[in-house]
Amino acid sequence: MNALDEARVRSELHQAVDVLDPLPPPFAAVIAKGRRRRRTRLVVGGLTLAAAAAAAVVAVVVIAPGGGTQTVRTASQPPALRPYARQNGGVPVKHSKESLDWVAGPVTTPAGRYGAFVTKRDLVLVKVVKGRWQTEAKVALGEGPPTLRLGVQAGPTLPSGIPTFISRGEGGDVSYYGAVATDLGGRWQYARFGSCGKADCGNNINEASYLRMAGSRLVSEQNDCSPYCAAGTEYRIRWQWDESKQRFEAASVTAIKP
Amino acid sequence: MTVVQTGEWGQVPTSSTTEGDQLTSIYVLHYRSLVRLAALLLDETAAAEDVVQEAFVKVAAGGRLARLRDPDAALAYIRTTVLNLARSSLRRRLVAARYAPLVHGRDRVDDATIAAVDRAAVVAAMRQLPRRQREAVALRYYADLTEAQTADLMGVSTGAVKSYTSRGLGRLAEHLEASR
Repeated sequence: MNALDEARVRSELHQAVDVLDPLPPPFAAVIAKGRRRRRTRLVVGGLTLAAAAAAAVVAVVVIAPGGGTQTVRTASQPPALRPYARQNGGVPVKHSKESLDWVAGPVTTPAGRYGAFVTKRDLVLVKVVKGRWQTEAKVALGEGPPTLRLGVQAGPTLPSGIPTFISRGEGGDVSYYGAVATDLGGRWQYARFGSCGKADCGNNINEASYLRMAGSRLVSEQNDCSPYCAAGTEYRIRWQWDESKQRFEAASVTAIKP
Repeated sequence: MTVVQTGEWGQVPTSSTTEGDQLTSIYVLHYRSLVRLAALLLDETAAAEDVVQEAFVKVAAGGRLARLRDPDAALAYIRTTVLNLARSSLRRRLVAARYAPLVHGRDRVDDATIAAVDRAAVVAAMRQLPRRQREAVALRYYADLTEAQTADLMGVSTGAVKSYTSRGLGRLAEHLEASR
C-alpha cells in the first residue's frame, strides 16, 4: 500500500472495527452509574489527599539537633529532573511536529540513574550523584542546519549499563538525530555506526539519518539514492551495539519503500 | 423528533428537541460508531466503551449541550469529548487504572471480538502511529470528517491535519508492509 491509497485505508479501518457491535446499555443506567462513580471518586480523592498530606509531614520534616527542621529525601524518590534542567539552561520544546521532549530520563541502569536535556546548542548529560542531579558532560548538537526546536529521547542501554540518548532537531522540514553514549574512557560523545549495508548512510549517520527508538530497538531509515534519491529505495536498519568494535552495527536491513 | 442526515455517521437530532432528548438520541444513534472510533484512537479496544460512556456522563452532568452556540453541533461536541478522553486515557491510562467499568459484563463487547479487533493488522499499525497522526487518520478515514472538521476537532490548523494525515498514511503503509 502506498501513502495515496486512501480508499483502502478507509476500507481496512472499517473492516477492522466494524465487528465491534456493542449493545448500548440503557442511557439512564449509564448516567446513574456515572454519578455514583463521580461521588466515589470525590471521596477516594479526599482520602488520598489527606493520606498524602500526612505522609508528606512525616517524610519531609524531622527535628534537627539544633531544634530547626531539615528536608530529607526518601531513597525511592527520584530528584526532579526538569527543575534542574531549567536552572541549567534547558530550553523547553514548543510547537513540536512530533511530540519532541526537551528532557529525557531518569533512565535507571546498573551504572546509575541518568538523564539528558537540551539547551540552545548542547545536549547536556546528567547523572544522580549523592541524591542530586549533576552535569556529567555537554555535547554540541553538531553540524547541520539551524534548528528551531531541539529535543532528546532515551536510546538503548549498552551492555555496560551506560544509557544512550538520541538528540533531535527540527527546522522547517529538516530534522537530524544522533545517538550519544559514553565511551570506555568515560567521555560522552556521539556513538559511531558501522556500514549501512545496501543503504547509503552518507558521511555521518548522527547528523543526517532518522535514528529513533521503535519499541526497545534503535532503528533508522536510509535512502540508497539510486539512481537518484527521489527514485531510490528506502531501507529500515535495526542497529545493535557491538561491544568489540565499540560502535553500532546494522543487525538487519529491510527495504521498506521501492 | 426532527432528524437530519449527516453522511455515514447517520442521523443527528436537531435543535428543536430538548437537551435530554437530543443527548439520548445521539446516544442511541451513535453509540456504536463512537465506540469504534475510540477503539482506533486508544491503545486497547476494551477501554473504548468506557471512554464513550464517560463522555456521555460528562456531557450530561455539565448540561453542556444547552450552552452550545450551535445546538446542531452536539454530535461534534460529544466526538470532541471522546477524543479528549481518549487522549487522557493514553496519557495516564485513566480508564484502565482508575475507572471501574460503567456497565455490567453482559452488556460489554465479548473478549473474542475485542481480540479480533486487536489482531487486525491495520489496528496494530494504527497503534504504532504517534498520537496526532493516529487521530488525524482515524477522524479523516474512519469518521469521514473533512480536513476542516478534523482540524477543528483536534484543535490544530488545516495544514497540520494535512501533514499529520500524509505522514500517518506513510507510516501506516510501512507498518503494514513490515507486518506482512
